[in-house]
Amino acid sequence: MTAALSLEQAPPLSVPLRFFLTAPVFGIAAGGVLAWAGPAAFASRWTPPALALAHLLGLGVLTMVMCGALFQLLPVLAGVRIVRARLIGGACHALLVAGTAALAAGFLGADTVAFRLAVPLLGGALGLLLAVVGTGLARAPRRHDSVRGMRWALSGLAVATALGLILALGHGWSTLPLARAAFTDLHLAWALLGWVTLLVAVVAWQVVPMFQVTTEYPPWLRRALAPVMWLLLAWLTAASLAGRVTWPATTGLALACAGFAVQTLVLLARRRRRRRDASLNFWTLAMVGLAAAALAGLASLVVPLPPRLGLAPAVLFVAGFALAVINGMLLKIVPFLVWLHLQQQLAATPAAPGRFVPPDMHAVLPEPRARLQLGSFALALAVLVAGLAVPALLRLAGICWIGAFATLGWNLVRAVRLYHAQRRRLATAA
Amino acid sequence: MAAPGISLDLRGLPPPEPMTRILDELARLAPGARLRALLPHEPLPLYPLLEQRGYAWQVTALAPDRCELLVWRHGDGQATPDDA
Repeated sequence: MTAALSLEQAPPLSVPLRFFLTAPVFGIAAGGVLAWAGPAAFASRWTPPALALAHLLGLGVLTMVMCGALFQLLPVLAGVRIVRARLIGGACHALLVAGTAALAAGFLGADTVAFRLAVPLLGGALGLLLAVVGTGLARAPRRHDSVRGMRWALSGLAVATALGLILALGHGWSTLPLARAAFTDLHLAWALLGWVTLLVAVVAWQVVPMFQVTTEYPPWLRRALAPVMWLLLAWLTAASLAGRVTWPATTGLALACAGFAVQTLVLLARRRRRRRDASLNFWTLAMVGLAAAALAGLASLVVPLPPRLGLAPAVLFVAGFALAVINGMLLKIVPFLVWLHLQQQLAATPAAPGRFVPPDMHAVLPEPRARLQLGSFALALAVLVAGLAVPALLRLAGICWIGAFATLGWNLVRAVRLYHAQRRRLATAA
Repeated sequence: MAAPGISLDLRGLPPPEPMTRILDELARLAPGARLRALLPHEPLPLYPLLEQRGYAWQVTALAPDRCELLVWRHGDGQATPDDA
């Protein structure tokens, strides 16, 4: 096989970076909301601060990073070139930032106007992403497991977005009749499982063996996980809307998540490269978090959790799994992209080779800084989980999350500053 | 038939080490010679870098987690594989 990839297929570095650099800002805002609201935030899943937090993290951090990663990965994994990547990426980013801010403001008590603004902004951002990436995947010349899996994840996002927009319409125009509790449960299930988990899994098929130097995931898991989880979600949706029992589908989903987590932990334990770094520890933590969230979800089916612990599965999932895995991925992907783009510019500058040596990945994001990011994250997670049992700790947890996201943000800003400094050096050497 | 070339087994190295090794070794590739590298997966981000530096390449999947990359200077008739 002879591959044909041209330079124009990779988007400019600014396209993924704008998403990656914005995510910590929303993370800091989420920490601020928790520090401000304190124990009241987690009194139930319906409190305004809990809903604002969920969307600041789910859209502002998780979806933000996943959008940037999709713009970057689509050309590399699927061999698809995104036409006008800078314009489309910029528009998607601006709409997502404004829409997330409007939605959070709406939950935190702003006028219904905020919800009315959030609907077209978020519909535009996610609709644009779905259209661009969906079209790209449909035309993809490479049709491996990750490309097929991305289609399932993207359709999960489409369902979650549709349900979310219906719910936001209900907030903006309160006359709309709505089975709010059932719709919210389904919106949450599709967003966290059909979108976040599926995209993390299909990206993991590629990045875990590559960056952590493990063997491949079993082919049957790569082929089956996404369609099986999608069908379980469809079953859950049908059962919920028909008023039938939902526990069989929920159990299946929890077992699928736990299976993916355990398989990843097995691969990581048997990796070929023995050195442990912060990224590996983030991945390990994330998979333990996912397994714990699945167990907590299963436990809540058997024994109703006390009200204070009702949020435990969601907290373990979002903070213990999704935020950890995003941190672990960024630690590898950002230095790699900086290295790659500097190499490309070096080759395009005829007089420079020999007089300019690009920094290696470790210099872009040194391990001590990555360990600081891991430490601040682990502290914030520990205080948050403790806060489920001792709500008085929740204000402190919010402050710790501000610190964790500030550390992530500073590491990313430092990598970008180094990139620009190296570009200037390269221009001087030419 | 190509002149003796460079052979590398780069499985077990995290990115971007396989790519840096290949780019470093290519600098000492003799005329008429090819570089042969064993990799755990197709090095997609490497291709634009090879193209920019004037190299041609061919990839063959040997197993699900092993592929062989052949690289030679573009237009080097002696180094170009017969089936390229």
